[in-house]
Amino acid sequence: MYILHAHWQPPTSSSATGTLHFWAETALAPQPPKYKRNTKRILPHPFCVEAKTLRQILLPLTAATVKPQSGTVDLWLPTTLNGPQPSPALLHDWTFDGRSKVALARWRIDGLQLAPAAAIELLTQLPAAFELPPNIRIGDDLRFWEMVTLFALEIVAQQKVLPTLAQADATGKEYHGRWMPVIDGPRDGPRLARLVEAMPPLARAGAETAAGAEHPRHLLDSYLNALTDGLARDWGASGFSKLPFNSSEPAHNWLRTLFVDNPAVKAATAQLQRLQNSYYAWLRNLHVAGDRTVRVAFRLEAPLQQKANRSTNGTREWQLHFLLQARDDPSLLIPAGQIWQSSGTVLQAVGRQVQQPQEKLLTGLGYAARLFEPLRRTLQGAKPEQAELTTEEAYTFLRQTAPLLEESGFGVLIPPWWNKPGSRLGVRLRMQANRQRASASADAVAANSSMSMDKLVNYKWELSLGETTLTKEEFDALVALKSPLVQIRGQWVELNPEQIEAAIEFWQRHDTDADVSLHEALGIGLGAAEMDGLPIEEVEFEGWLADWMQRFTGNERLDVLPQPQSLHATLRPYQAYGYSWIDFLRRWGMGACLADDMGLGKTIQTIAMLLRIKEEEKTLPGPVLLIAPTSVVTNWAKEVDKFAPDLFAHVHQGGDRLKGKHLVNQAKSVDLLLTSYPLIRRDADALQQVDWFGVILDEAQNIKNPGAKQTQVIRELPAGFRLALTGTPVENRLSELWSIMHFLNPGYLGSRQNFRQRFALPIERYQDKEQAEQLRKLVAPFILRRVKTDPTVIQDLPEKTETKVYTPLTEEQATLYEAVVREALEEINSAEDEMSRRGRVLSMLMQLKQICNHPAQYLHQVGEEYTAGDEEKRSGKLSRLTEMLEEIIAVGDRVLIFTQFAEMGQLLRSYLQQQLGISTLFLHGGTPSKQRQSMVEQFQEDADGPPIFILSLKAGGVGLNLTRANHVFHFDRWWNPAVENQATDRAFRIGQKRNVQVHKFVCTGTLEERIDEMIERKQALAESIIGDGEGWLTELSTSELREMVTLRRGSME
Amino acid sequence: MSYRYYNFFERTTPIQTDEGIKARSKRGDFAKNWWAARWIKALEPLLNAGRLTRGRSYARRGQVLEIKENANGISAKVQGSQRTPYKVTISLQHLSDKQWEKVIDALAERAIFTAQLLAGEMPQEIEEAFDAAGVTLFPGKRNELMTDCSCPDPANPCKHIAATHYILGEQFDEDPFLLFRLRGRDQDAILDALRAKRAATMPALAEETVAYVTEEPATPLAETLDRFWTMGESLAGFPLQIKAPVTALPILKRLGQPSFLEESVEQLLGPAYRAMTEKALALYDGAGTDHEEQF
Repeated sequence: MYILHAHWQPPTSSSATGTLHFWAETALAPQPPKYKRNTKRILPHPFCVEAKTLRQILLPLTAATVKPQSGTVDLWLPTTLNGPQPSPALLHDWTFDGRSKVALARWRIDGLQLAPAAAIELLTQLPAAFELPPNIRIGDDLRFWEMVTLFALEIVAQQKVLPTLAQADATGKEYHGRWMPVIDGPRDGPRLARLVEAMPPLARAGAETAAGAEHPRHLLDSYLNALTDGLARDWGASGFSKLPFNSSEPAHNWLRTLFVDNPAVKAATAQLQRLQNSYYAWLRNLHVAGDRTVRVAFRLEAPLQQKANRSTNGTREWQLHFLLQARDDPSLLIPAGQIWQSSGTVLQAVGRQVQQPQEKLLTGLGYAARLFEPLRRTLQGAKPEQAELTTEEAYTFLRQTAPLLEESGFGVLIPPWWNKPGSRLGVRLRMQANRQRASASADAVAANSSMSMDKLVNYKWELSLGETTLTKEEFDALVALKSPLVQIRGQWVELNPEQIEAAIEFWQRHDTDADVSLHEALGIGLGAAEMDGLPIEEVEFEGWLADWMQRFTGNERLDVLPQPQSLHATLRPYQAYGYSWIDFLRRWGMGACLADDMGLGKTIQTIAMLLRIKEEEKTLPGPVLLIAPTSVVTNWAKEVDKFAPDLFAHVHQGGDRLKGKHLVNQAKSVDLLLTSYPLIRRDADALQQVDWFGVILDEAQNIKNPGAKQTQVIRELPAGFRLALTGTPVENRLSELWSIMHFLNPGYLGSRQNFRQRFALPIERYQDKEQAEQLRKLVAPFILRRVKTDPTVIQDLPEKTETKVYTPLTEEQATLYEAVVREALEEINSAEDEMSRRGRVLSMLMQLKQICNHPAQYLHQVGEEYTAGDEEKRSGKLSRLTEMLEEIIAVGDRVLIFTQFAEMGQLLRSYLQQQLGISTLFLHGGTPSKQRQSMVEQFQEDADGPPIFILSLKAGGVGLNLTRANHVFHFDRWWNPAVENQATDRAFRIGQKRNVQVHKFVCTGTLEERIDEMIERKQALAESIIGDGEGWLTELSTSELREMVTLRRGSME
Repeated sequence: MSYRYYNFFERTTPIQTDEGIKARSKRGDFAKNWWAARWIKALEPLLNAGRLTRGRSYARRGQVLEIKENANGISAKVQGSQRTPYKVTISLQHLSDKQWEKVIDALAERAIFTAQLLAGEMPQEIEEAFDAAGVTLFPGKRNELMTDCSCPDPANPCKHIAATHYILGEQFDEDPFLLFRLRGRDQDAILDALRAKRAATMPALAEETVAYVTEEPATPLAETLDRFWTMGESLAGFPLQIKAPVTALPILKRLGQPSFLEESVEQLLGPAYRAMTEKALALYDGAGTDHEEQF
């Protein structure tokens, strides 16, 4: 695995740009050697990736076309006698002496170098954590510079860059033209402070001495300056077809240097000095608001009581206070009164040192007086503290002056009611069922399936202002007051001209009720912000529609349906609720997403829903298509068989599956057709010809990519109802969420572009909380998710749930399997005596077990130096394990994996750590007991400990307490239930609070399946027959053996 | 002989130079603001038309090589027809300390004086304040403005002095405090005095005595080893708004039109700024889409 880093080395002279140095740590290097302390030389870092390899790892991560150079940088790193310490995120197999002391030492780091502006494509396209290949991580330092780069991108996009003219060095002979960022806005100070706090110390490790490490603010500034200059220079130049500067003017000479590579200005010294003086005079306006520490601010205060009934235009009741405000913490304010009372050139207040506070205040006021006339009045006094304003003037300030002042860098503190919902004109909507259906109840409507869902809802609207609704007369009266700010019930409210116009037009356009579909009503009721330019302040639902909305949005619990009679199982209470919920949505034509945690029984809830329909209607109105991952299809078939024998299901899989017309006819004749995602694509033609009563997607994250062919084919399937099942937290992955919702309820979340603009970008990039809440409200009614840790669910869960996971063999496995079977059966048949026969049977079983696990194990490819590659492609079990682990680790659960083979354990560990980047423990027969203890402790106690523990022990090892695990996998099985249970019980203790899920892997079509069936059937007699070990298998006759081991290929893809 | 003596004013051609300070105004008036115009007016009655014209043309051609301020006033170098540039000095009579005190008193009464001066403007009513002290800010009488030049022309002011005077006028535009300096007080001295005046009328408030630092020193690297590789504070939820500015060209709007450009700065640099926004947004939006296609 690799950890990627980036280091910023500031420029050493004023004509250089500085360098970004990309490098990576790797766990694939050999154990680092021991080092002596105090070597004078700077040694090369022992596990840093060389430049050539780094190119192949870093560059493919993005679509950027950058051309980095190889180079080195010397960094101070925490070091022990074993060399530089690996960063905490690196999962490695080296052993270090824990007692060696840690101190800083300098190391030479290989890597790739780019100037900051050249690196911009790379830094803005870094994948998010969950998009990275599993064996690559991005270090905190690289993430830090990524964020700073985006900050710089915002600065440039918003044009907050300033051309500057400065002396290049102390001699004063050379002047440079450079762009600088202007970061003095109200949101900038706090963000800069936050970045300084966040900078990892590693970023400061590039100085000549450890003690000379740069101050984080200086490092941050140098990067922002260098990057801003580089970007503004390149991008700015592209705005001209030819640079419009002629060289006879010093000013033009200077401006030209802002767009070319060489920043040195060509002009005589006297001319440059003159130019610089004029330049500083020009800059004065930029600094009118303050300096780096404080800015001048204005606070508007409304009068408590508006004088009743009189137009308030004459009286000056509003107050505009003058203050100084700290830039990095806008809540720290110094009132003008305090400033006038101080007499020195420095004021200590609110934890800050303010230079020349009175002059600052006056400068700001002098400038602001040009923008806002009433300020000139106040300045006629000697020590102005506030201005008194009329309502008109206050309104002008709020609407026009305040934005201008803010943009000029001043602080503006306005009353909280300004521009907030409830203080402006808006629209209130009342929605109710369409007149013809108004009297019916919800259930009657639902039951009558011939009613169309269109035009079901009727809405009426009213104009509102603040908390009150306005009639037309009241509205007209307010308009007649001609005051932009009015007080209603003690609250100030804005009546601005645009809103008044919009309201007048609204009256004209919308004087009748309108009818919309339920879907549209939902969209408005849950999400819309505006209607024809007026904000929607409130939406009310009436009549049975209100009840329906309560149930639908989950505010009121639904009626729980009784369990279907033909279900051969008992639904737990939460499952009964779940299946009722799916049914409710189905009736109303809404696509539903059941997102329960793994193991809570999504399968059985789905089956229950299908059975209920069948019971109610006597027969399903049409076939239902269920699409699942390949290895899961068999699971479904078995569960339908077990729990709902009344449902006729057909499995569409395997090389000999039906095609074309035969497939279509077969589909029409069954209740449920089960197939896999890959096959949907291949057999799309036939499957799209069937008029499906419903389409169900299991592990719906498989359509997370909206552009994939597979996703498109699935969306085009004719479907009466739609249901998606998934165990992943789909609300957190917005692209996936959109794709699934687009399948379930097309159009509800808008187009993909639209969704990106409105939700995805603001939430994922800007962390916009409001939009996140909006989105949550919109989708919450369509998603039902229960988790294992939910107390109401835990009560209903048994302490231990056992499931079989049926996986197919891969082609390679099947070939090896058949070869072994052929050869072994021959030898068994022709065995000379009982002993050798027994031996050959046992060895055959062993070999077949290994093949079912993984070909590499059987072929003894797992040696000491083994490192895993794409191993899951060779083994069906490993492939399915990977899929399941993704879900399990994503929700933070912990896992035990049992295997009988140390080799397999080693393969698994290497694969999980190197390829999936999941920290894994492995305990086997050869593990020394002291280490066993510490491993168990790590697993049980460590907050950030490894989530996976692989065990390959003969059953009956020393009592190990691993109760923190809530999943147990039996990758391969002891064919002896007692022995297996004992292993399971390592994790399971009676009385513990968490539910444990046990997954037993079985390869379909192989002896594993056969033996499993046998054990199930003979359960009651099992113990007496099977005894202590697996010896009972040798008692079988040759033909029984043959029956058991012959490979049934039907279930493979 | 007498002809030459009577009209010493020869039409000499100055040596051309590229290194001089050219006047910004190409034609018409030199000053943009009223106070610079007043300044220039102070000189014009003192020269004949010919010298004035030459003075203007020298200023526009960039014959003034250097202008420096010192304790006495202004000294400048102007390139004439001789190889060695001529030395020019211009100074105003300094006001006495008592006179300055009276001026300060008057200025302290209305905050608008200081506010406008600090913001780069000469207040309209500034004369009132100087009036109260019985003096004027601008040179009124002839002997208040003292000029000299090392050129052969005996007339004083000559065209070199005129050229310097015009260039100086443009500096006045940008820096109203220059006039105060010529009258004997610099900006800091004036502001200090004003501040003292304001404080004198109010009881002094005890200031907070805790020591504050303007910038926290950074933690030494050797003390950060336990968190060396990680971010000090999570940047989750770091707000960004990568989009076009609400008002176009915000910095240029804040700065206004500079005195050193004839053409509109917004027109000149506007295309550069707009291209920056375009490219930044293209990069950012492109980054978003690329991710989705990667699945």
